[in-house]
Amino acid sequence: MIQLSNIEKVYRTKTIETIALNNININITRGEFVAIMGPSGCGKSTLLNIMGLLDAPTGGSIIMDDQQVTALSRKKLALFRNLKLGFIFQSYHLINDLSVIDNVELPLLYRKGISGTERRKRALEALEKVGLSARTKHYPNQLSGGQRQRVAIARAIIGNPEIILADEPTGNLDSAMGEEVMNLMLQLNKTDGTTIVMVTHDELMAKKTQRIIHFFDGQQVS
Amino acid sequence: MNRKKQHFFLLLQLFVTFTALFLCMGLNLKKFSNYFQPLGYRYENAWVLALDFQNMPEEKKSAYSQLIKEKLQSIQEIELVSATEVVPFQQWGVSKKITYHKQTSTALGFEVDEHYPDVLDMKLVEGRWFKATDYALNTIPVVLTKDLAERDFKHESPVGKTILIADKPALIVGVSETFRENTSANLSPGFFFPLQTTATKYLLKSKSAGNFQLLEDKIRKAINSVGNTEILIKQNISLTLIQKFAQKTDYIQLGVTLIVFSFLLINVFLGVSGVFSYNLSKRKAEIALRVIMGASPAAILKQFLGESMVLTTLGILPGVLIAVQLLIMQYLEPYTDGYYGAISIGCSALFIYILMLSCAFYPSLKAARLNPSDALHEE
Ligand SMILES: Nc1ncnc2c1ncn2[C@@H]1O[C@H](COP(=O)(O)OP(=O)(O)OP(=O)(O)O)[C@@H](O)[C@H]1O
Ligand SMILES: [Mg+2]
Repeated sequence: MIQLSNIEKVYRTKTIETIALNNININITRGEFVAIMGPSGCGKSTLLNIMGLLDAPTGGSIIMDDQQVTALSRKKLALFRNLKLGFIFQSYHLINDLSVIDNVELPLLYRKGISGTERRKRALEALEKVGLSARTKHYPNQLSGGQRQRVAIARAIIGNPEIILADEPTGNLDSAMGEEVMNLMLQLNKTDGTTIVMVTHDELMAKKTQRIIHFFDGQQVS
Repeated sequence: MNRKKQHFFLLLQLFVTFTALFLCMGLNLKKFSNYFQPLGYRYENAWVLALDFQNMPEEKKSAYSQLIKEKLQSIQEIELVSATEVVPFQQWGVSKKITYHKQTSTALGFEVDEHYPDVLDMKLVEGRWFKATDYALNTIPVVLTKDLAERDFKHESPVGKTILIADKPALIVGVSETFRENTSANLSPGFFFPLQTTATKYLLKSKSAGNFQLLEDKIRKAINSVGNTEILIKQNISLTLIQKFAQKTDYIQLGVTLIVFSFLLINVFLGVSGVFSYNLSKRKAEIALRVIMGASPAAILKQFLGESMVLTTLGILPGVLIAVQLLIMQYLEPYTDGYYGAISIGCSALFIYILMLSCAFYPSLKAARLNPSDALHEE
């Protein structure tokens, strides 16, 4: 599903050069739930951004869903993300000016051939899946952290993505809420067969996945 | 400053800009169009003579005026002499109240004598000009200009009808071509009526009106030969020169208006561009998120340009409504009418839309090129 070969990412500023990723080779198969762990600053988010086609690697190639995506245009990348990828972030990243349901609909807004009513219907379904049908008209700042993350999950799944990329999805949540979010993702992986890559610092969460990749200083160590 | 407040100021700025543009165009467009219309007379062979009779009593003035006319007439180069209160490009008509069938309106009154149309080669559309013999009657003989006839009489012929001019009865004896000034154009339609007092200005028709020295000298001699030291020459010049001078002041006026407006628009442009840039920089996280969710650069560009267009529409809408209302109530007559008013509204709106698009374009393009991971990293 995701094949990373010889991925390298170097951040260059005038004064310093940071090697964030160094010769990464990872192969993630369809339907896998993978956890990525490692100390702060070791390059986990960088890797996830590259997998999410948000940032181009400085070297190496990415094959996703049997498609070489390394050299696609911004427009094609956007389309690819829209159709195949779902994102969940540590700090939710909801748009505060939009209601819960409008936030959830966002990915479908950029997909062709979907009517307003269809969008609404699917947003309600997604919110139902995460148990938030009663909060559709609320605004993000009227929700708790756990609720916000569930909205973000609904937004991530509304487009039926094949891959979900989650960067510390439970990092801002207390253990009970973290548990809830983790269960949602496990269920998604099990029932829909969605491939999930999750960065986490939480050993317990990581143990629930099928495979743990350990990182240290820009390199895969196990 | 929060976003609501900022939007409010932006809308206010749009409203003011639209109103200023509309008024500037609305009040000048019709006048400007006058430059391209026929004047209704020829001024090239006309000469202006303005006299100062100082404190001479009215009866004496009238007698001297008659004498001066005869003296001028006797100059070989001068074909015709007309005593008048109306000199194109210099002194136009005076606003008067006219009543027809109990309907009152205003029009410009042109106080001239019976020779006026011949001096200026004016054409009559209908009827005749007033004659010296008409002056004895109780009613004032008047000649309407074509635009006044069309405005107040629509499709019927005004000749032979009686109207009231400032409550005095007047008989319409003819209709002339529309009478215009093309510089600092006065836009009201008008009518000609006989001199009510002794005129102090004369229009002379002369083939050699372009030969300044010759005519000036002869006219001066003629006036001096009348032998009254009280009579002074105030002006002794060809109408062509007066026209040129009037045009020059018009160009200066136009230039100043353009400079003031450019300055205003540059200000608006910078202000609005700044507001857009600021707003978009505040919305980086939102833009990054939309890009991550699959918005293409074109979609982002479209969204922000679209937002600026909605904002523009909201800003100028009250202005458009007020402008339409002013036009319906004919509040801006005679400076503008429905036709030029509609053009002014359309052009002002179009101009502001283009201005706003150009203000929004660069910030929106920057937004469309935003790198999402950098933008979220900055958060
Ligand atoms: N946009 C950037 N510009 C320059 N350097 C960057 C940028 N993003 C990341 N880095 C550097 O790359 C390295 C890896 O960063 P990354 O964010 O991937 O770490 P991480 O493993 O996600 O850490 P954490 O667990 O704290 O989130 C760090 O040294 C960081 O300073
Ligand atoms: Mg990170």
